[in-house]
Formats: sequence, structure tokens, C-alpha cells
Amino acid sequence: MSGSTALKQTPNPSSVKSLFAFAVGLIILFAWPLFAQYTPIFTSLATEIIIFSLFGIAYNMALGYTGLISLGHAAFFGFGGYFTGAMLKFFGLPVILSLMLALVASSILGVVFGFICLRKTGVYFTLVTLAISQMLYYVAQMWIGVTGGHEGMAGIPRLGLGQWVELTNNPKGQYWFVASVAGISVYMLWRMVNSSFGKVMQAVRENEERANTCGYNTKRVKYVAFIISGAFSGLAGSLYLISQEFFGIENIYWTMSGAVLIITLFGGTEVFLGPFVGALLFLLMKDSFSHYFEYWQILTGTLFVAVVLFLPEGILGSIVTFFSNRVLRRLPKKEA
Amino acid sequence: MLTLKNVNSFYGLSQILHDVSLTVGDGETVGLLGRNGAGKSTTLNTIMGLLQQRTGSINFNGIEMAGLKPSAILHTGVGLVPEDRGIFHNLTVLENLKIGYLAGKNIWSFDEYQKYVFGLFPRLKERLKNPGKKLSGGEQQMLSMARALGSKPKLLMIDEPMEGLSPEYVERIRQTLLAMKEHNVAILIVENNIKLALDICQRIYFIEKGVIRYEGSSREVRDNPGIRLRYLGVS
Amino acid sequence: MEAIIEFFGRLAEIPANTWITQVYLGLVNGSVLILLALGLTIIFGLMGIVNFAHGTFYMTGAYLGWLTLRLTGNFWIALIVAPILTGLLGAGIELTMLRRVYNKRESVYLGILITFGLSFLGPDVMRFFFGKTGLPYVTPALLDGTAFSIAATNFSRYRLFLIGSAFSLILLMWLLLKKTNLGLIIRAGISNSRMVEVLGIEIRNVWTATFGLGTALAALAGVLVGPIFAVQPTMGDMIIIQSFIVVIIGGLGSLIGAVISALIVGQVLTLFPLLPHLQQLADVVIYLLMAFVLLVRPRGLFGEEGVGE
Repeated sequence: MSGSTALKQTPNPSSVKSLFAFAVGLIILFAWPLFAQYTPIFTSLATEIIIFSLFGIAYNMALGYTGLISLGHAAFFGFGGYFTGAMLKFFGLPVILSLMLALVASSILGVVFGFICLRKTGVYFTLVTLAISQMLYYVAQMWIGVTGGHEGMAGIPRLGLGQWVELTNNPKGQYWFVASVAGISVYMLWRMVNSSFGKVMQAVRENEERANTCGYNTKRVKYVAFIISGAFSGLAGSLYLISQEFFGIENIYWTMSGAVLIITLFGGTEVFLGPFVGALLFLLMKDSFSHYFEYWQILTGTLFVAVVLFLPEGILGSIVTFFSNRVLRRLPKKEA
Repeated sequence: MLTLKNVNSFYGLSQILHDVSLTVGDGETVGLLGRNGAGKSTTLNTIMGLLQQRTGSINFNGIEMAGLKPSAILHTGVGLVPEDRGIFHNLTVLENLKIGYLAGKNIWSFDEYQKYVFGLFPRLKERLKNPGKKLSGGEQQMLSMARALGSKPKLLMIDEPMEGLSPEYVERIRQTLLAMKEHNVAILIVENNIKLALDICQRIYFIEKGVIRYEGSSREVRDNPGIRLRYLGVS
Repeated sequence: MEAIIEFFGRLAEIPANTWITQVYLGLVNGSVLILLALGLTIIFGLMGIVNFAHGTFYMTGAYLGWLTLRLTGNFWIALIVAPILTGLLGAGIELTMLRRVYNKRESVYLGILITFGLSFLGPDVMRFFFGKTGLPYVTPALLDGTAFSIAATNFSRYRLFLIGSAFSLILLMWLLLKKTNLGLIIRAGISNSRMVEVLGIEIRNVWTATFGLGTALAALAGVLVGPIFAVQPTMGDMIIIQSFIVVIIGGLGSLIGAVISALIVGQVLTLFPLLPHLQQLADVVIYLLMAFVLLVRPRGLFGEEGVGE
């Protein structure tokens, strides 16, 4: 989040070279379960990485693109999960329909949540998002009939896509399903970022006053960005429930908001796919390192502080800057 | 006493001052005039070290000030009364004065200091226990000036002290500035009221778009309406 | 209507000593929250840093206190040593990390991130050194037992001591802020830190001192609660949110606001569970209270315009 002017984006897919890179990326993404067993990123971990990438990218719509520092996104993630679980468990709805309803419901939550929080700016905004999401945590804790309270939400029925694909107890099926849904969502978000609305969002982040004088209703821009961000964060929660076939209450606790903040900052807020790198790193540390060193948060936290202090553009962001400076021989970004 | 040589100053990537050079002599009163946004306040803030991005040389009594922090610059003997007056709103008048005095506690006693500023601004004595936010604009201006005198500066920089004040306060502050001249305090003042500026100052600089365009004695400017018309749009 | 009558009927059935006990316990809660909120609000007011690691310092204080108690067997030494060590740790963190971000455009934001990172790693550091389970403090013999009883309610000596300590510290803080030059500079800095520098005061040293002082207060609260609650790695997670709420209700940067709001929140936390039918809402109610206060007074009870916006 240095004061750079232009937002760096993934290469424009219209050029042949980037189309090729895009295709290769897509193939690797979808073929992963076939060779996952030979890597440290086994299939279920890969599924989790994809879900948290979606969560991070959605979160970054608020953080990176409009400069809203929310510490309340656990509310969306948790709400999405519980809502989907309820649709599947109590109403017996099909998976796809449940996901769509969860997306709609999360948007509505975003409308309400944003309406309250966006009346505040600066630090107050951050603290109010934190407080309101904590309120939902306590609601979840009390509403044991639906959420299972501290026991977590269990007893999700066998899931599948019609009679063709079995999801329950089928990590590969889950992976492909999650990757497809997340892929479509990320594509939609990417289109949004590159639309004229996306440009306005960045204008708001760079200089809200100027965007205001240019005739944009900056409050509304933030509001819309926040709703979109919340909606897809909710969807990430839904996917998490489906892949875990369970949903613990820690998913709506404030530390989850912190986790997505770390994920997003790790990768870098100014690069669209930054949160993917962040999620990869975060979950690798959590899942793999914790085999060797139980107290993985020490490593992750230290790395996080180091990134904030020394790589303010995040890991992927710094790499992109480094290469674009080298390759394009751009001027240094900031004068001392 | 104060000499600026080719000073450039930046806000982010935009350059505000271009090769500004000016001098203020011992006990001299110098006016810096120009239209809004010409770089007057930026010049004062740059001297005070509030803008970190600066090049060129700022010399005060033989001390090179470029690169020093504002607090260190104050201890060389330069004081600033900023445009917004910088009153501590939650502190009383007395406490505001105490803060100003902290930097001068090795120079004179608090009693001496109080006697001095209450001589200049008797009004402040009546409002000693009032919090800063309860003061009128004129009182705030007086407090801000009084506070800046706490460190007994040899050069006082004042940014538009008369702005928005009633004629009564303008006169009071004008008297004070003349009195400070008597005490041999050099003054660098940003003042857009040309009449007042000519009345107080010995020399005048006109600044335009961050460039010093004119330098001359007050007499020259007074006798030459063309100059006023050229740089301020008034005659 | 019947429901209302029934509500008050059940309310009237609650014996007086239950009320007294809860008010008393609420005062204990409030005292702990005051110690945390004072540090938070001063640090925020002066430096613009929302210190997410405040709960971690609270926990660190509790653990260091436990360790000192274990090594020396003397609670009083622990009560002094742990806050000093934690305060030094806080000052060190300010010097090495937070200081790097003040000049940047997003200093508030970077401050949140750094302290958040610290709060993320803190609990695991304690688990690493002290294990995952809670550690008990021994109440010093002098403070063990009951001080006196009113209406069949026992007032434990230790809790009285805790309340007394908290209020003595408020008094000390008040004296520091009102009567000393350091306090004068801190209050001036909360109003306009740039101007303090222009008046020749090296405010960075004041920042370090203030951050150290704030963390020491949090650590002291941690040691004080030791004999009441077990010391655990997660003890900071919960209380930091409550402290934030206290500070928001009181108004960011306001000292008197922090004190009053801490006392209110402390009471709400213990009295609400007594209300018939509404017990379930007890956890949520402080959030509702915060929402209500912000609705009526957008900057909290004593917040000043422009601070934190």
C-alpha cells in the first residue's frame, strides 16, 4: 500500500503470451489433484488454499481496492457457512442452489453491515466492523439449534451434484467443484475490477477527496465494494462448509478476520492475485509447518510483521514491482 | 542571520518551491508576499523542517539546518507561529504557555517569561484558566505568538497573523510586532495585507508559483504601485 | 403487559445480596478494563496507533508475573517486576517497529497491522514457553480471605485490593498527566503532536515512554487478575475486544471517557445476566450498548472531533 499511482494487474489476457500463461495456470489448477500426492500440497489442502484465496481476493475488494480496513469479514465467512449448512441440512436444497442463495443472503448481510459501519470512517470503521462481527459470533454461539454452538455445525447430509458427482468423502470431487465455483467467482471479481467501476474504486482509494470532486459518490462506491466483498466472502464460507462437511464456530470469531487480513497482506493488496500467494503461504505454514513446529503462529506472525515492515507491497506485489522495474525500466516509484 | 540558498521543496512528487533564496538580517523584519498557493507557508514550513523533502541550503547563524528535525531547529533560535495557530485545544492558556516555555527553561525563568508576554498581551492574563478551544480567533493568535516566544527565539516566523481578525485585534498584533522589533527579534512574516506589510517590514519578497520574483525595500514597493499590481493584483 | 409484570416480579425476587455481589464483581471487571483502556486510549490519542497487541501485553504481564512469583515466591515483587519488564518490551517494540511507520501516509493502518501481527504470535510464544494449560497464581496470604460482609455478601480482600490498586493508579495517572511536564507534553501531543515538535520538544522520546507506560499498565492488569482467573494464552483475545468497546464508547483519545465507560461496561457485564429472560443476551449487550452510544453520539461519550476519523 505504498502511495503508488497505478494499480498493477495481472497481464491483459488479450495478448497471446498472457493467454498462454493463463491457460497453463488453469491446466495446473485443474490437474492438481492428479499429482497432488507427490507434493506437500495434497488435495484437501489445495482445496482449502483455493477457498481462502477466494476469501482473500473478495476481502481485498474492500481493503486493496477501496482502502477499507475491515476486521469484520469473519461475519461474512461464518454467515455464508452457516447459511449454506442450514439450507443443506434443514431444507435439503441442492448444493448449487444453496450456494446461490448464500451469495444472495451474504449480499443482504453486506447491505446491512455496510450501512451501519460505513457511517464511520478511519479507525472507527475498523473497530465497528470488529465489534459487529463479534456480535454475530455471540449470536452463533447462542443459536445452538442451527449452528451447534461450540460443538460446531455437523450432520451435513451426503452431498453431490445430482447423481453424477459425489462430493462427500471425495476430496478430488470437492477440489474440482470448489475450484470451479471459486474460479468463476474470481473471474467475475476480476471483470469487476477491470470495469469502469473498478477504476472508480481505485480512484477512491488513491485520493477520496479528488474522486469526490470529480463527481463520484465515493460513499456509494465504498458501499458497493463492501457489499461485493462481503458477498463473495460469504461464498468462500459456503465452500468451506461443503469441503469440510462441518463448520466450527471459530470460523466466525474475529481471529478469522485477522487471518484473511494476514493472507491478503502477505500476497499484497495491489495485485489482484496477491491473496492467492498469501493463502498458499499461510496455509502451508499452518498445515505443513505445524507438523514440525506446533507453534506455527510464531513463525507466521513474525513473517507477517516482517512483511508489513519491509515489504509493504506484499510478497507477490514486491516481486511484480521488482520485475516490472527491471523489465520496463520504469522510474523508481518514490523519491526519497 | 538566516540565509536560504536555492531551496527546493516537495509535497510527494510535486515540487512547491523552486530555487528559493532569501535572507533575513539581525533584528530585521521581512515580509513574504504572494497570492494564495504561491508557496508562502511552504517556505516557512520548509525552514522549520516540517517538510522532509527538501534540497538546497538553509543557514541560520552559521548552522546548516537542512536535515534537522523541527525540534532541533527551534533550539537554534527559530520560532514558528503557524497559519492554523496550532493551539492545544484541550489545554488551558497557562498550559499552552508552559509548553512553549519548556524549550526556553534554561534561558529565562517562567516568571520572567510570563511578565514579558503579559506585557505584550495583557488579555491573555485574564484568560489564563480557559481552555484553548474557548478562545476567540484573536486571542488564539495572541496565545500562539506568546507561546512561540517562550524559547526566546532570535527569529520569529509568523504566518498570516491578521487573517480573519477584527480591526481591534489587528491593531493589537501590529503593535506587538513593532514592540518585538524593539526587542531586537527578527521577523519573517507572511502577510497579504500590503498596507500592513509595508508598515511593519523593512524589506519585501514577492513569491509566485514557488519562485521568488522580486526583492526590494518597503520604500521601493510603496513608491512603485506597478510592482504591487504586478505581483498581487492590487495597487 | 403480563410479561412485563412477570419480568419485574422475577426481578424483585432476586435477593439483595445477589445484586450487591454482582455490582461488586462489576467493579472488579471495570477496574481491570480501566487499566487496559487508559493505555489504549493514550497510545491512540498520542500516536494514532490502535494497539491490537494490548491484550498480548496484558497476557505477557500475567505470565511474567507468574514466573516472577514462581522464582521469588513473592507476589509484591511480581506486581512490580512484570509491568516494568513488559513496559520495556513495549518500548522496545515501539522503538524498533512502530517508529518506522509514523511518517508514512498510512501510519494508522500500518500500526494496526504490526500490532495485530504481534497479537497473532503472542499466544503461541506463551504456549511454547509455558505450555497450553492455564497456570494458577497463589493469592498472597495478606490478601487471602474475606475483608468484611454486608447483607450476607462476602467481600474478598483480594478483589478489594484489585479495585483499590486500579483506582490508585487512576489517581497516579491523573497526577502524572496534570502535574508533570511529561503529562503536559502527552496531553499537548494528543491535541497536536506536530506543534509540540515545532515548539522544540523531541516528541519521539515521549512516544516511546508513553507506549511503554501503556503496556506496563496492561501488564499490571494482567498480574492483578492472576489470582482471580488462571493465566492462559488466550486471555488477551477476549479482553482486547472489550477494551476496544470501552474506548469506543468513551471516545477515542479521551481519558475521562475511558474511565467512565470502563465502569459502565464492567457493570453491564455482571448485572445483565441477572435479568430474567435476557440472560442469553449478556454477551451481546455491550455491543448493543456500543452501537447505541455511537448512534446517539458518533464520537463516543467524550470523543473529540477529528480524532480517529
